[in-house]
Amino acid sequence: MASLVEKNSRAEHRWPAVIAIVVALTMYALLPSSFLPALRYTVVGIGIVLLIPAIIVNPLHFKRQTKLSRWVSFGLAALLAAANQVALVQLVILLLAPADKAQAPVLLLAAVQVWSTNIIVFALIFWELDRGGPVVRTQAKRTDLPEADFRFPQDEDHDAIVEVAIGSSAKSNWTANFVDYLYFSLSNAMAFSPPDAVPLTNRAKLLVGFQALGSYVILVLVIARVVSLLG
Amino acid sequence: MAAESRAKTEHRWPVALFTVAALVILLLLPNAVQVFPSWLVPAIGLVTLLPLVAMNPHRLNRETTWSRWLSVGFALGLAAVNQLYIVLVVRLLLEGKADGPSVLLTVLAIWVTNVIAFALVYWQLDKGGPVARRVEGLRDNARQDFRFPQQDNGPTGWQSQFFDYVYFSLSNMMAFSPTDVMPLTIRAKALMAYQALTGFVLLALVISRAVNILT
Repeated sequence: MASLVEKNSRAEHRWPAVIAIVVALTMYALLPSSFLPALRYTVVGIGIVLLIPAIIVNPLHFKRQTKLSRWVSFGLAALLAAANQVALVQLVILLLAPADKAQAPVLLLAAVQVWSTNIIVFALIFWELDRGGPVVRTQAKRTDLPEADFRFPQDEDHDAIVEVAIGSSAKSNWTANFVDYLYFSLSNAMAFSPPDAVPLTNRAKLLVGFQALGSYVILVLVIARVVSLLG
Repeated sequence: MAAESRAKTEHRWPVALFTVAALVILLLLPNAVQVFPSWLVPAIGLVTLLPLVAMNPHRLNRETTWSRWLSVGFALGLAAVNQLYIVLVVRLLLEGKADGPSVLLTVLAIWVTNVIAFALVYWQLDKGGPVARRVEGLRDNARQDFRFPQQDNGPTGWQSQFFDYVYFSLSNMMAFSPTDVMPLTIRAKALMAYQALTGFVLLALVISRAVNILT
């Protein structure tokens, strides 16, 4: 019974991830209209359809997982990420093409949307990928977890000074939740390098490197292009 | 014992893929930054690689003195040639005559080959190189140049592989600082500092130049 209570207290809340997905979908729907309209509305539609069963399976906390629910939630994250890479390529093409000054605010807005959506979708992917995903991560015994893709500061804090060690994974059974992955994704998109958490596996390094490169290209081109258009 | 060390050795194809990509990019560079005939550097590279691939076609598990010299020479040579291209592209950026998108594309190409070339150098240097890292009895006391996150809490059975070096070469080029991987030796710090400085100069010049030439 004690172990059950402990497990339940580790289960992640549903709403931070849902809010992030809804924000990503809303940004998708609101991108400037020259931006691949057919693809965007299809993605928004599929996204909403996939989100409904995921919420029904785990309405408040992440406790239950079937093979299907795992594929649906991973598929949703992968779909959004893939669609956003298409939008990123389109953005790069627009940024490189000759444009008149009237387009500068639109380009800047589109860049902000693609960049922010990228943060959310990569956070979703890291969160779904690491240690078997949000349900397995909190509900399975630690010894049963798959190999970790990311190492968070808490995972190595057990040797630190007492008040820091209290919160470590080893002492408090801490596991990363969506906000941890969102912060990681945000700072990777701004600093182009892993900040507090570090990727450990090849697939994690591939994804983190890819996200950083995309953000880097957006930053360079936005500065190069939009600054000259706005000026 | 031999079978065990063979099972742990690295695959040939990830490094082959990135190397060929770098050589193809060098082949396709525009004339503005070519000093030799465009085929010369990739051809020399391929000729250097042939005996190495013939020696270890699938897994990197054999090494002789000459193959070690040849692989280190290839990595350092590619990095050195790339420094020449960087000088040429910096000159191009400072002159500012060429049209914007094509200069950007050239910078991007050289930026990418620089990431690959430095990844190859790091991968060849660290702890005696890819073969010695994983085969027992081969330069076992070679110094470790880089500390990966898996090694933070002391030695483990974990060994880095090529993509680990690609990733930190990439993040060093973008963020100009070590992040997950720490350089431990002077030569590692010198190489990382040099690469980061290159990435910094290219970014600064592209931004300051592109603001003017793209309009």
